[in-house]
Amino acid sequence: MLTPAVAIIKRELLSTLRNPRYFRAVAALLFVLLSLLTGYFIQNPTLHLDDARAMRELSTGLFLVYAYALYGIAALLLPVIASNAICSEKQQEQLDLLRMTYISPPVFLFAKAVNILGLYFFFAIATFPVASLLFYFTGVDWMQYGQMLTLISLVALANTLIGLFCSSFFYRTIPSAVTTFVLVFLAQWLPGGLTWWGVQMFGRGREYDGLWIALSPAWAIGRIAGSGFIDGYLFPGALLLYFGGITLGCAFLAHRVLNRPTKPMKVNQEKTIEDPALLEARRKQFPYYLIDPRRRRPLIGDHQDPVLAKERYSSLANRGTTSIRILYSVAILSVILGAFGTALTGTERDAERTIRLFVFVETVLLLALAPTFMATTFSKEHEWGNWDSLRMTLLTPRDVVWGKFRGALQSLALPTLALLIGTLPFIDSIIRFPSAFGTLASSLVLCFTNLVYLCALAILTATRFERSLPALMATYAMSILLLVIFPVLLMAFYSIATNDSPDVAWLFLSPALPMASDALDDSPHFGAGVAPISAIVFTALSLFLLKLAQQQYAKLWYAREPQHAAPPRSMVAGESLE
Amino acid sequence: MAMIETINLTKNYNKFEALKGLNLSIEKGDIFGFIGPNGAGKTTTIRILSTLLQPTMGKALIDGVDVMRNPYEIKKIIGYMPDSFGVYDGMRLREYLDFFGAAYKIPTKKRKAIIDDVLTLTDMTSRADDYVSAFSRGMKQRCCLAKTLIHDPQVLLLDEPASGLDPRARIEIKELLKALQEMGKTILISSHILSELGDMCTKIGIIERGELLAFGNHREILKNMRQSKEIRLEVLDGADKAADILAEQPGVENVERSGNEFHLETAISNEDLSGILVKLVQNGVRVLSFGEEEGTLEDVFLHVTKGGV
Repeated sequence: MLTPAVAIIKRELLSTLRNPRYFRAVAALLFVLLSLLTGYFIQNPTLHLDDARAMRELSTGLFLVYAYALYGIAALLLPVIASNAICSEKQQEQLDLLRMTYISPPVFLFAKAVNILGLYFFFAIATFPVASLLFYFTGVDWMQYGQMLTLISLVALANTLIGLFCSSFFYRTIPSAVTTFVLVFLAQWLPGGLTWWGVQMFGRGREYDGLWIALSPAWAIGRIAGSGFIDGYLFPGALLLYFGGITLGCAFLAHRVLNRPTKPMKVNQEKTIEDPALLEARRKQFPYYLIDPRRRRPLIGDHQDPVLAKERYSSLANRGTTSIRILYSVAILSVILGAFGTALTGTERDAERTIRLFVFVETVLLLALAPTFMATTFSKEHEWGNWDSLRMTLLTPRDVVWGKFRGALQSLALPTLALLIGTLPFIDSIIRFPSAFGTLASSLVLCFTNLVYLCALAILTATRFERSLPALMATYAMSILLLVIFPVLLMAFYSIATNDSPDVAWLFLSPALPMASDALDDSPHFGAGVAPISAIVFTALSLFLLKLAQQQYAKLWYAREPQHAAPPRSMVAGESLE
Repeated sequence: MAMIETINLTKNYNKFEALKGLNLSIEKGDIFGFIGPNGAGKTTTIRILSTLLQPTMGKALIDGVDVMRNPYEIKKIIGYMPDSFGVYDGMRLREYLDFFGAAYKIPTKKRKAIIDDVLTLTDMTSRADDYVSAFSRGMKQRCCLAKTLIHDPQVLLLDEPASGLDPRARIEIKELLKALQEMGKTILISSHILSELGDMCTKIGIIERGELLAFGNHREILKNMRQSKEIRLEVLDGADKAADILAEQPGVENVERSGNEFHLETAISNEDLSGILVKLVQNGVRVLSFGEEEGTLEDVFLHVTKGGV
């Protein structure tokens, strides 16, 4: 029992320790923490180590940053690694070989979990020098530190097992990663959120307040930093029970899945249907088909972009009945949500606010969905082994980048349409309050601006990657950074530097800000102007980003290996064989 | 003029020299077999010829066009089949070929007929409406070859086209390559399976550690390589008598006997050899066969290469 376990743990740890990426990440984390600390001291030159109150403030602040950094690793990095851990074994056809050895599924799962958690502890231990400063500044006690570490370690363990379960269930990494993140999100926010909602809804008072915080680790960390404990309520019992349950449940499910014989990947083998009568009959039988995937497609036209045509073949419309059914369901749910929203539009102001909130929620959903269409479109060419074949054709990088961008937009059009159908019930509100039309129009303009901007960002990021998972993660990180974090940080710096709150002009830093800001509610006339200006600015910026993506992709296309000469003009021009 | 020519072609990957001044000259209509152990530099050469890799030094020409200076022109005249490749998900074979046809800018009017021709040539017409991702390895190999032929290239660069195929599929690919040669195409093919190249290639090149060790027709190479002829003799009876006669002959060396079969080495002339045969028959030895052993590509390969990467 022990020897195979040692063998696989050794293999796993070696592969991690040989990866310089993690060492760089630790160095980056330490750099950020120490920079913040140094920055704090520079900003407060009169700070003295004897000033207990100031030291407590500093210590608490540093504790929060440190704890959230570790929490970020547990909630964002570990699920990525775990969701790929068993998928990669399957893709490299190693899983069956491992199953032929004496390594049992529990040992295999244990080894994977040890490796992934080892990475978490690697970060935790490497940052001990920073953690020790907390005690030097005497603002945080051992109990707080212990609670924080226990809490985040529990989250790390649960998230790792969620990822391993998804990884054992799926063959491909992307569905595994997406499902992992959905489950991780639900595990961390749903029970706490529901409890909070229940408390708010039924007003049962504050006796349950500690419970929802205890079940939401992100809030719990804040509470630990503030008061040292979560009001003594159920902590850590509730948390232990909850995350322990998730861990054991996922381990059990993953074990069950790994015990089953490997199923070969499902491959569609349906033949084309030539008979128009049969196609018509199928259309009547399956009304959810927008385009029958079994029809014979016409040849790609002379003036058509071949890459766009190819991307369309693998779009949602051609992805079988399940995707189409999901889309119809989303459309119906969206309409129900919209109809529910119209009930809240008693006054003109309410109507405007509700419409804005509704489109905002839809936009957030679309922005969360869009990278999955864009991020992996380039890396798949490498992963599926088509990269060289594609480069050997007379296509240019411009053809490929634009073809893929437009193809991804077309794929995205279907869920976008499904979600935005939900705005139809607001027609009633618009009839009652015509000014609400302006709000709907400007909100929709901002929604599309955000979508185009995010897609351009995603394409720019995606062209750099040859593997889908890093591409997806980088695309999400880049999108959040440029849409939210960077503009908000700039605004914060402006506030600190000028001691003044930023005015509405700052909303042009990102197309997401006008949608999330209350400023537009207070000045509807200004709001009407923000949407078109933002649309023009960010569409232009998106075009620029796409141009950059094209140049970046051209470097990879023409110069895979070093010392490659610049592409000749004839290749960029794209001559025809005719 | 040579159809494929490399002049002092060199490629370094950091300190590792993958190609050391390779000189090749392949005529139009040749099937050139590129042979060498793993890591010898075959794929590097093919990737340079395919415009996918920049050499460190030297020149590569296809139909007189410089590969490095005019990659766009080169792509029109070559078809490259990589050693490892994939297919697209959610695409049928006809659509797959249509995509590559469009990517090679073949007009729609001509494309349908070309796709049908290529499907016929690769014997895949019956699978035209099947999803390519559902194909077996052999079918994917054919599919990739069909894609390589879609723009009617004059030069085919095939990197291990038969690896992983069953014997029947190998024979079919061999026949297909012969048919393509008859169509006037120049083919450069790399393979580990020497037996399949031996009787198909008009020329071979043996490469090891980035150096070309032998070049030309493999029979000529073998002839030049050997100091003496290898003769095989098989008798129906009188094997002992035959052994005595062979032992007495001047210039006959290393006689090995295995039952009624003899292998011997000799540097004597053909007239003297026919004299030996006459002597055997006159002494009552009933000869079944008597002739020079041609030698196989394996012999050439083993003789020329030293092993190791």
